[in-house]
Amino acid sequence: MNSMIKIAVAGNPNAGKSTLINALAGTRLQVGNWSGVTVEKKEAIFNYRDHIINLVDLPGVYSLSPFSQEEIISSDFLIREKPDVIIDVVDATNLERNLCLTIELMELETPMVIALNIFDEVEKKGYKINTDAISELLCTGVIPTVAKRNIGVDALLEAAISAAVNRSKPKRLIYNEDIENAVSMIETSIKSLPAQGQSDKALPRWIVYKLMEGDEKIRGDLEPIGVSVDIVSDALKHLTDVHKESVRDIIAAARYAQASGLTQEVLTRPEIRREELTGKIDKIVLNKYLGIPIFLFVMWLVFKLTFDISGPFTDWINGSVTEVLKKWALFLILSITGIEWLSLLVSDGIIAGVGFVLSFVPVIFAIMFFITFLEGSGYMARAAFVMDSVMHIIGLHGKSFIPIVLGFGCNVPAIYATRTLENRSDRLLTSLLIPFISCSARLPVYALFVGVFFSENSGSVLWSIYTLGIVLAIIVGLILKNTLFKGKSSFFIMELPSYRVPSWKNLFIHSWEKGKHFVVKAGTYLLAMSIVVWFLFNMPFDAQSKRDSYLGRFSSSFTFIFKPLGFGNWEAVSALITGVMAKEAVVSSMAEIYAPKVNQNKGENTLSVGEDIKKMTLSFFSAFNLSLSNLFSNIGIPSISSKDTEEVVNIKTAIRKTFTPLSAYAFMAFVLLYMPCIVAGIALKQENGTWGWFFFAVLYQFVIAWGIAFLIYQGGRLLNLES
Amino acid sequence: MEDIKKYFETFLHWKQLKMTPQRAFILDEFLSSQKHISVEELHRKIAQKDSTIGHTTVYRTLRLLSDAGLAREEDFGDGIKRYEYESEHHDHLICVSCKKTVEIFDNQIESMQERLAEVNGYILTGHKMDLYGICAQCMDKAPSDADEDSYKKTVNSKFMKLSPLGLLKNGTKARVISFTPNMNLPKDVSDQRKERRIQEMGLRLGKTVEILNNGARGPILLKIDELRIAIGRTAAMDIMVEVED
Repeated sequence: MNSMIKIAVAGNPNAGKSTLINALAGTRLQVGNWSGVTVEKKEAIFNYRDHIINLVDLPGVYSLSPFSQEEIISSDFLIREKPDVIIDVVDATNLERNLCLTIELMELETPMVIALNIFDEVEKKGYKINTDAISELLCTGVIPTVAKRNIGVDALLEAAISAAVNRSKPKRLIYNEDIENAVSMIETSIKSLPAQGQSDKALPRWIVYKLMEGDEKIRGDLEPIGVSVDIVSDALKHLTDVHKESVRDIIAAARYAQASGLTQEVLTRPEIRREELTGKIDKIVLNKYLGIPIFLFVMWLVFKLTFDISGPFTDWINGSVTEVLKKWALFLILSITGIEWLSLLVSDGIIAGVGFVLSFVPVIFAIMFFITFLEGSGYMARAAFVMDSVMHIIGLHGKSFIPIVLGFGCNVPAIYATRTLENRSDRLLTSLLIPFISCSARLPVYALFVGVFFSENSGSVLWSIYTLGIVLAIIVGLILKNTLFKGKSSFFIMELPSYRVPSWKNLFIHSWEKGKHFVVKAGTYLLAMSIVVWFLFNMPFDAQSKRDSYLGRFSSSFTFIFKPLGFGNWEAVSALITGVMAKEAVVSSMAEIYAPKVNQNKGENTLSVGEDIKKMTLSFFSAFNLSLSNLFSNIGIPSISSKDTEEVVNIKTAIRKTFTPLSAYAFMAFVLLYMPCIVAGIALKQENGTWGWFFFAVLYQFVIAWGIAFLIYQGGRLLNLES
Repeated sequence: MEDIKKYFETFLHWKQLKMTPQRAFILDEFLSSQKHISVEELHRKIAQKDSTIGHTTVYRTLRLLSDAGLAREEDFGDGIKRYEYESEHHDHLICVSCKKTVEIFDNQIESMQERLAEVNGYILTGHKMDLYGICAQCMDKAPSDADEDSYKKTVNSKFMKLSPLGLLKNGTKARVISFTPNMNLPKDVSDQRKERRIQEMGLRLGKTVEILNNGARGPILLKIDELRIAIGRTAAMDIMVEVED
């Protein structure tokens, strides 16, 4: 049995690293987090020939300097975990820039293989890269790959394994005489240390360079064997005297020089260069006048497609699957155990909860699919470019716009998407603003109320609610920027990758990863909450009506807070409390309260397995059909609720009795603003580290929601809008 | 003295302001003080005679005088603004190494400036011109190679087309010279970090960049070899480049 080979995959962002990882490991990839931080960690363990491979994907970085979280993670892993071999993924179309990281990785003196990725585009451009020359000059394996089409992937893995088995180290490059002298001085003095327990092995160059740069962490690690500041500073004397620059700059410049020298040696460009497609597209997409309209159109298209495609499937899960399962669970548990509350807990608490989570799945996957498409195609970076000047108004960069737009789909992935921002305070500010963006979960609430009170001009009322959220996000952004986040705006630099057609396989794998993350994380909390709420809602069991349940009693004592807002009744308050879990729960709670189900199942005897499966399958196909036809149907907002069941009619009548149009509008505004749902709140906590910001968000949102609803209701009354 | 006061009053009127006794007093004190006086110094002088005039009033009046072209605002690199009455106009030659300042005057340059203003349809009300260089003493102090280089850079810059990256038009090609507008100031940690980050992204010293998209607002899109890099306007204004033909 062979021992495990640990392979670390490193590379620049946009070098096609994750595509290559997918090609290497496919579905065997496990996605997690690096311990203690929110940077994604992908890992896979699999058998290849007679080896066990442990593949670890390092975050995309430009260098191993200790400036960003990603860089620290990468260098820590490479130094401490000592992988057997490094696969360095290089974007072959940007050889020079990518080779800088290669040069730095070589300093680690770990066996290494270079994947010259995106090699097809190099050939298409008519460039010639002399791979043998690179291999010879650097003493590493060099494999051209096209990860998207699985070309060269096996050869790469073979090369990595053989490098690991032979322990063949890359060449030690000599940067210049002065650096070399300083290095050898340090090495000699380390060797002469009495406590030099580490055998005769010299330290990897990278560590020595870090010592020279004055890296405190590395020096701390070497303190036990007696490395002191003096050893280093003595050696640096000559270097800094001559160059008059910081050692960090000297070494960085030396690396750049190596990379550009190497590039000149191995790369031949054709004399005549035609204008590339990317340049042509950019001229239109980044045009001064067209840029923003095009961006808005793209975003609109994404949302239209998302909801059109996923809508029917959501309905299918809600209707067919959940209903059927509930029916069966109720029947089975009741007939086996005879305990009514247990059967109700399972069917109405657990299965309804699971079904509720599942109903998110289509929309989350659809939106992740399109977002991945935009990212993979290269347009997302353009969107950030176009929106940068607009976002500057609230002290954020264009990059922040992407998470904020995602917020329209669901605030949770939106908050997770703030990871792409470099600066911590940008991340925080963006995630504090996201809850103002009306997510799709809030739509059912609006749909219900708009349907009852504003069916004449439903479009404009809906629009006004969404706009209210956006306007408040801008105002709050401005306020936060000038108070808590004063003067913290970082500078903006971003790479715009060439346009590429993303491969289907990658699109599916990435949207699956992102979607799965949501379902698991959010699903767990949602399920737990839905059971808790079920208990609150249904206990004590001898309650005559929902009003006497714990939740009802609890809500009744807080109605005074909501009196000035126009909905100071226990029904609304209970619904709002359940809405903390997820905003659309407001609707289902109202359904529970206003139209309590009489145990309708008892009378029915349609429990035929075949019938139910047939129904589920048939309705799946009709959902599929509808989703397809939505795709090609003419443009328009998908109808929110086409047919009202008897239940819905009951709720609507009840709502009409307790609300007026004005209080309904105030209620909608309140639902929009009152707090991020528990999942979004938890995402906020996870991404920003402390519960402090979670409570801050909950509190300030509640205050704003109350204030706005108050203004709407009382202002409306003053204007005599209460009818 | 009287016609200066008259001119200032006209200027104030044009700005819809009035010649208050305080303003008149400050003007008198300013005109009678020695060259290059800071707000603090002038205020101290005034406060001895009239303690009702506050620091802010002095500062504002000096700004007005400066707007009117009666006072010249100077900053000799120590961060303190000094003001000077524009009786005999002169420009400055400042040593970047020891900060020694020499007053200079050249009729030809003055008339060329007048003409430049005229061509652009302006009436010149004032100007300031500071020339930076290395003074003779500093040059004698054993110039090392690095000093020589930076000296050459400073000297040559007048003949090269030196410009901040942020001001270039679409399609222009330029070579990156420096990541700070003032090459002589020491870089602090955040500058170093920023510079490092920019270089890592591929925008390196000595590289030729092409401006792909530079609108009136927002970031600027550059092309370096095959790379497309978007950089914020503020950062781009700090990067000095030499325009290529």
